[in-house]
Amino acid sequence: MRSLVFTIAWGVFYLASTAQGMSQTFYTSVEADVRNGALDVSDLGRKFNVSAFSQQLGYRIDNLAGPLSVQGFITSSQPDYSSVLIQDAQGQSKPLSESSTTLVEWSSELSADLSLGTHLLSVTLGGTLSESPFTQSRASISYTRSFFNQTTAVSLSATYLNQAQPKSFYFDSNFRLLQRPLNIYGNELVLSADQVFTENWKGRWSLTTAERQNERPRNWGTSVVQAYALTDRLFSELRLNYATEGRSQTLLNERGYFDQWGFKTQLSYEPIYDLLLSVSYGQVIERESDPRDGTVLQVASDQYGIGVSYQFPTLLISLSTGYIESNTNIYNYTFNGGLTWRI
Amino acid sequence: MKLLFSFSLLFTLCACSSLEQMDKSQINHPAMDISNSRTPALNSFLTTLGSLEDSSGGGACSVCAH
Repeated sequence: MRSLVFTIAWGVFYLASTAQGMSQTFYTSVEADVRNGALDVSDLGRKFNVSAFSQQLGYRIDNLAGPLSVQGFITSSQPDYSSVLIQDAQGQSKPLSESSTTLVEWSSELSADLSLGTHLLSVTLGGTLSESPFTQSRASISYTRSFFNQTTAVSLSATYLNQAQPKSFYFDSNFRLLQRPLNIYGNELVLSADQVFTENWKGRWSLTTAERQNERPRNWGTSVVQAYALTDRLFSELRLNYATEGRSQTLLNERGYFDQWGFKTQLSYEPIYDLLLSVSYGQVIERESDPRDGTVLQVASDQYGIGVSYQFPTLLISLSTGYIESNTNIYNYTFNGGLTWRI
Repeated sequence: MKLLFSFSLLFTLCACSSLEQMDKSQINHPAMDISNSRTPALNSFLTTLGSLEDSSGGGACSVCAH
């Protein structure tokens, strides 16, 4: 994986040094994601999910060779695996952080876009470059066709994922100790349609189906995004999504079937030219129902966000922060800062 | 029903065609970019549905190995 990334990166820089009429964009961002709290009473006070601190550095060249544009970015991440419990063959649990010695994980993604009139073809390769308990590689391809002077666009994308995970066991409903798969093979298909309705209203509808083949039943999801300019300085956005797992497929581990609903509303205001202030509120409801023992678990969370960005002539500065609180006392704080420099 | 569907389709196509002449200054404003939200995306804790992505930090699976 590493040699492939460096070979492609070298080729891109060689072409960049000889190409004419292209534009280049450098971007970098820093993100801190801190999670704490509990999913249910027995977990109370324990960290939940994985907190991480990550940095990203990216480079994009538009019109590198005529209609060809390329992009690459590299991410370093310092995840805290103390909340991930691994169960051994004797049924004893211990935090993954005790066995994982990797402090910094590196990953990268390379993509190429070919734009020919109303057709856009994109190919993306990505994956983990360093040691990690969850090394992964992925490949995706997407095709977009636009109509009516780009007021309508239809897009289809397919992604393949291969992800490793540490050796771990679980108890099934008959109290048998079974091993989890060491490799997860996943695939995802997304169909989306973008539409400009009026001069201040546009939207997107998406249909997604994805499967982590040897782990979960296939899931289906749909989402709707609407953006509406209330005035020339005030903008609104609404996002709705729903996803569910296919009940016809057998459950492959101790977890039940999942459903998820969510919405998010956002208001953005431009008090002075190129300064944009945004606030958002959203709610996500997640439900796990297991027909084998009749249990139902529901987690609902309120999600608040603030964003600020300022566009200089060639430099964009953006900051955003979010706070989440659930009915099961999960707390999540995120902070993201980014710079985008267009040459 | 077929007539209604045909009329709706024709109306949509005509409306879309007329948009070719419009001023797109508000539509193309950065705040109207629906691919890049200005605030953090919705986050889930119990499930990873609707996406291949596992939980955001480090790739740990929140479904099976929380």
